[in-house]
Amino acid sequence: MKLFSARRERQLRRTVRRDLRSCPALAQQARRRHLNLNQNIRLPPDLVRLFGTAWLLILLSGVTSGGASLAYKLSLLSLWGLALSFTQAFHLLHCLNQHPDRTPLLFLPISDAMLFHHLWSRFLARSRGVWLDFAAGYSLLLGTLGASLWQWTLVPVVATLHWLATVASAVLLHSFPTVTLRLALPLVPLLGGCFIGLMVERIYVGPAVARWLEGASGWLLILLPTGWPAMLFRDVAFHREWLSIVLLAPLGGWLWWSWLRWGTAQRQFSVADIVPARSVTGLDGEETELPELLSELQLPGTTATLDAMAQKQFLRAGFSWAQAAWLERCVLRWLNSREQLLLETLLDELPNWSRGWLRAGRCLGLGALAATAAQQWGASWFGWIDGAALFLALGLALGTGLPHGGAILSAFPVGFDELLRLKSKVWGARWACAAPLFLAYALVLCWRLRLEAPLLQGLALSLKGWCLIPAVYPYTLTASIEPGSGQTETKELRIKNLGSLLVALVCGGTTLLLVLTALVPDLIGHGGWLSWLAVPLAHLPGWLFLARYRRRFNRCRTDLLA
Amino acid sequence: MKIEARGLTKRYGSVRALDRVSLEIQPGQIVSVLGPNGAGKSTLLRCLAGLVGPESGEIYYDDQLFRRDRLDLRRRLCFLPDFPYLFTLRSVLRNIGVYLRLYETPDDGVPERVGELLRDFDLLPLAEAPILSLSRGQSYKAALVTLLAVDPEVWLLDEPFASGMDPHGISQFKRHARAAAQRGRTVLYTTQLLDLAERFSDRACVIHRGEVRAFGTLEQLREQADDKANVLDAVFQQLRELP
Repeated sequence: MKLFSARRERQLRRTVRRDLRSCPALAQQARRRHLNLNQNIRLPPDLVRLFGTAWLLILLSGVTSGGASLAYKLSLLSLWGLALSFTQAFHLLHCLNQHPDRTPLLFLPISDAMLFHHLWSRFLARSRGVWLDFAAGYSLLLGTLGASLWQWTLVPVVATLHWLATVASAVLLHSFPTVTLRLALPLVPLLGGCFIGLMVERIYVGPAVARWLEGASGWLLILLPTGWPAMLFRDVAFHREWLSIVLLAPLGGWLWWSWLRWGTAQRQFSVADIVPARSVTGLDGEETELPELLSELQLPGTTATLDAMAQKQFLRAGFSWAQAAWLERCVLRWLNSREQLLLETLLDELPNWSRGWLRAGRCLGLGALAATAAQQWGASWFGWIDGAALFLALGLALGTGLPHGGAILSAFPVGFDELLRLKSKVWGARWACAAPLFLAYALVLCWRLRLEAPLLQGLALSLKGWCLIPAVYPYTLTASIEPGSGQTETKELRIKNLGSLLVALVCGGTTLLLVLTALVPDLIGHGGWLSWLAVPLAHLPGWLFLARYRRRFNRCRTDLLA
Repeated sequence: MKIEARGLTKRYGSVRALDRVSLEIQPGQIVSVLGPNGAGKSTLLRCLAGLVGPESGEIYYDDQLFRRDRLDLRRRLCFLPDFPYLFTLRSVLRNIGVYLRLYETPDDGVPERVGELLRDFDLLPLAEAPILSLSRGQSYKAALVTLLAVDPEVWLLDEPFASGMDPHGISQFKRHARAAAQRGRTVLYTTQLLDLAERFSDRACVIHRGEVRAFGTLEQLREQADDKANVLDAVFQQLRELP
């Protein structure tokens, strides 16, 4: 039994249209609604998927123009398949557990198996873009090699095999979620980094990855299940080694194993999970599962509650500032009573900014050691370690300080300026306290790069870099407020919002340009007065953007629907 | 506090949710906002609360122009949506505490008042329970208790009678709302329950396709209606017959 019948939907649509035609008032209303839907610009998912295909094609054309071997290009396709296996596994996980169709179907009299098949079909429908990737990739390979008609006929076959291998890998990865997550955390960023590195070949890892791939392509094709169709294609299409068809056996085995795991997943699929009804609009950042909460719930008696109320405990913060560490105490001293009240509203427990600072320090220390070791060892890609360490440390030192934003503004009489002041003070204090850590790192970096005047240049670079970070703060602040507010139709980009988007892009672009103008001359050793001038200028667009947003917000030009 | 809306217009795409809505509500009244689904009732309340920005038109509270940065005015009103805003992991009491503090309500007699309200709404045994563990009706009661504890001058409630509250909760709400109106508070609420609105409200505002089609006391509406016994039913029937 199919859950959706195109024939029946067509019949219903015809009936509705006939009825509407008989009543002009209703027809007019329907036309207005129809127009409303059409005004929303929404990129179709398949079009978004095409960006991925375009990335693969650019990657392949890049390595082709660099004179890479066929095995190298095929191994790239295999690695692309490996990355897609992970993304498809997460997509399958999402489809089976969080697909929008799931909840409404739970309440219909259909079996678990039918629901599973429906969700699986949603997954398959979206995964067809993977086939397009491979078809485009193999076509590009053949196009650059001047292939014969016989070789071209193999493209749909090998693309299908590659797609099957990828989907089977995704199913297997999905059935071992813990292992998948542990593998994905290092592998997916690594693969992404490699693909980016190969696209911009002159930067850092590009040549190293290219050399490694050239050497390792042979065993990569054997080792990766997503490499087997590529190997088969190479042997059959180019070397006419028909014996290679035996490679279909391991591929078949792989598919069979995934089929078994798919069957297990289907048997284990159950809709008996609790679906809590939404009774409130949660103001919390993260929510706990209801069963977990209920198991821990121990309510005091009425007398105890009344006693606690008499002591006005509920009118105080849910935690004690007396246990706060040094950075938290430092921030607290800077806040007035209203800001402290707001801070206590936003937080469920004591913040751990001091721990973040310490972790950032450790991260920078380890990063400096690792990068120095890599540099001494002669590796040209040591800059990646510096970049990763700085990026991670920035996240630890200045990352999520305060949850919420728009939700608080909509629920309580809290002003945008109040929230802005509070967030800026918290962020500013953390920024100032983290400065010595990054200053020290920049000095070590300049010494390692053997610049002419490492101390002077290190100081200039770190000072500029550190003063430039607040230039991007207005954008992050707006983004932290925006998810809770936004326009009424939050997920759809509407024509009238393009103006705001354009302003944000222009301001963001200008800031980025000025940041680069300030930093790059120092990095290449030609810092001048112009680069210093760019430092204060870089702050202007962001703050102008924030001022515009604030004005629109206060004049109710943005909707606040949490 | 007097509420005045002047020519409020709000569109969602090409759909006009509010079309030049003008209203004036004097303090000390209970006003029901009625209308078919999608008529613009909730949008009107959201505009009045400052959650949704009208494209044109203005809102005045006590003849003062309302903007989001007018915190003094915002502290004098409270909006309770159909799914109230609450911290789901915090207890009922803690949520009440947060509201009281952010509304800057004086501490005098607060524990007693809150205890009484919790007792009225059968929430005293659940006062320390996290909101997430409560049913929809209990959550709504918790939100209602926060509103009553804050005791703002303007109450804006979206579908309070379709909130899952039990009959006792509903009757308590009506009792408190009536008492508040007598103290000069203004209660503005949306509902689809015409018989209840007819008995509970001082005035009714009927909205259809974003326009105010009728606004007045029930006596005034009765004079215009064909069926004098069921005024609001008759008004609704007229709305359906409109082109």
